[in-house]
Amino acid sequence: MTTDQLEDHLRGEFHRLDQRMMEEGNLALPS
Amino acid sequence: MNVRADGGVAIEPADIDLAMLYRNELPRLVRLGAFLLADPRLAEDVCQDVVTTLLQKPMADIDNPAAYLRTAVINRCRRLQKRSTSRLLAEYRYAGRPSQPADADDALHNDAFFVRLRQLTTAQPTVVVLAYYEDLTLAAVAEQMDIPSAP
Repeated sequence: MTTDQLEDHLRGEFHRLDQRMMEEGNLALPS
Repeated sequence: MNVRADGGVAIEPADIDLAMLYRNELPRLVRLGAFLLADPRLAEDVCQDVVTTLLQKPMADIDNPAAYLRTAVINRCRRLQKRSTSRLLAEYRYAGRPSQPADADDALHNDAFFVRLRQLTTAQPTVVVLAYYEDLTLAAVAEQMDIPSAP
């Protein structure tokens, strides 16, 4: 895996998990 | 917010700003903290602490509350990373905090990417998260972390 591919992979994983957290919406925000 | 003599509620401008700040910034900050700590439940607790601290400061003393909140979350997470053993994190989590510890059934906590992030050590998670989640340049990452950057 090249550096560019690794960077793309990391951004993709952050985006995927970010979306998952947003969609699941189960993080309890401070009130 | 103040209760008036007639029982009505007077909302001060500072209350509105704070409410907007929470609504606009906190969801993303909790997710940022989740990545920095590789622990979404602990991130909730950290943000709770940061907000509590912010509430104790006069808002007039803070030029940019959103930036203050973001930096405070990053710094709090970094302090935890430096001390982080699973034991310390667990102690923090159990120290009267409202959230429940993650367990084997917590699918989000056990997402493969969170598991990988938990394998990083010391400053590594912060660098990776700021560079590839926050999309900061390496120079900006160094500045945020208050460490020298390569020329």
